[in-house]
Amino acid sequence: MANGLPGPTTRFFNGILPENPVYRQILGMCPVLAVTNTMAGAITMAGATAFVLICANVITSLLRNALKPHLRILVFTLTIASFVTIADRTLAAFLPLMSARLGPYIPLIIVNCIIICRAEVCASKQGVGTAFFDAAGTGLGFLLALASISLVREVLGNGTVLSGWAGPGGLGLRVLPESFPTWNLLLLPPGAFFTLGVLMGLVNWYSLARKRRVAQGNLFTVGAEAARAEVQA
Amino acid sequence: MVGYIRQAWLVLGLALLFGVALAGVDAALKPRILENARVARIAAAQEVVPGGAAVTEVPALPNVLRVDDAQGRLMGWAVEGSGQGYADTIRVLFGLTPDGQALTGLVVLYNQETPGLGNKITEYEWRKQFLGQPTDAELVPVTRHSGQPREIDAVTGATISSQAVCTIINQQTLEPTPQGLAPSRLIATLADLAEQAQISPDAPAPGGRAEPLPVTPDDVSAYTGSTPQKKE
Repeated sequence: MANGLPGPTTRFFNGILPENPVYRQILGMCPVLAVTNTMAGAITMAGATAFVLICANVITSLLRNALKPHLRILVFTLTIASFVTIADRTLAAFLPLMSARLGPYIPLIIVNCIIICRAEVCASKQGVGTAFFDAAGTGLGFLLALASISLVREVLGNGTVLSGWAGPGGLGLRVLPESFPTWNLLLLPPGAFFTLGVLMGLVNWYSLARKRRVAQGNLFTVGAEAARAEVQA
Repeated sequence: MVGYIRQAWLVLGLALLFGVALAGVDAALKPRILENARVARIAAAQEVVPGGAAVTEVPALPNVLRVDDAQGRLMGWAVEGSGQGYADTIRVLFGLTPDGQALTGLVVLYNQETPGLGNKITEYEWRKQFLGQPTDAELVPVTRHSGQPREIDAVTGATISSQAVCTIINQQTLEPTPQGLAPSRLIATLADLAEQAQISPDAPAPGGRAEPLPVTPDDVSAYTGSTPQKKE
């Protein structure tokens, strides 16, 4: 905190909701829209992204004193690309079906701006511990976002959860009866936009309602003063 | 030069370090990845030849797999072919009867066709049209079906993808001659091999080793991008 930047605990919890990469920063939209029609795919994608995020943040933090300002993006990209390749090959070796299903979206983690954003904002300025917890929190926030979107899409679009992983023959655990008319549209690309929009609205509504309660003094938190000011403005 | 290195030593060093690390990862994982691809190919071969259990390679025909049933009787052949699609190369595996006279199935191993249009070639509803089609003349994609054999309903809005799959199969089964198209050397070779297998049905499959059943049809559909096919 010496340089006025948030410490590891703040960084960790910020990544989960206050600065959630998907719902708050609207970053990393490519995997959010492309791989959330099944939960299994979404969780694998979030896991691979979290792995790259943590490794890239730790390495960047270790190198932060040797970084030349005009070459830093090059170093970030090099580090990220290396860990993405490791993640991609590991998936191809140990989860070949998932690797085939996710196709080009795993290599595309290289251009996921969440990772370069964390390297730029946190890891290139703060110590290894803070960088690690920052990456872990952001990775967890990304996982929660992908899991929530894919939960809605898979349940309403297919009537199942975790198809490909759980249930008889890997067809998924059926949560809606067979007679339920599944909304096929939710599995198609437009369904990703609808779901993301509705969920983002819900998250905003929840946050605003929470702030209002804080402002009315019904809820005591550390950020009450700031929230009060914000609602009044 | 010295100034350049003073600026870029970190990038150069990291590039070297990561390069070595990636080479190590690749060397460690490559055998597993190749094995996965082989298992996927065997699973696809079992899908395109009904009743197939054991899959073996055919010496001298690198793009053909021999498919036997559990008792070692020849059930057919799985032939791999590829050609240009709308977006990228399409790779397919199609099944042939032992004498090579008819198709027994088709799966698309690789495609990058337009989602929702061209990539319907991976769906069972489209692929099943190829079942039982004779190989003695060209398969033709049509937009209006007239009830003739060898006619394949083209996917609406994706005649290029449909044409590409037909062409890939035609190129493997037919050869141009001065008198027109004739059965290819591949078909003749397969028919010969089938005849030999009939004469000595107890003889083990020529070359290669029998493969055990490695995966379930659900896995195949995951590889081929289709929904699990319902037995009709």
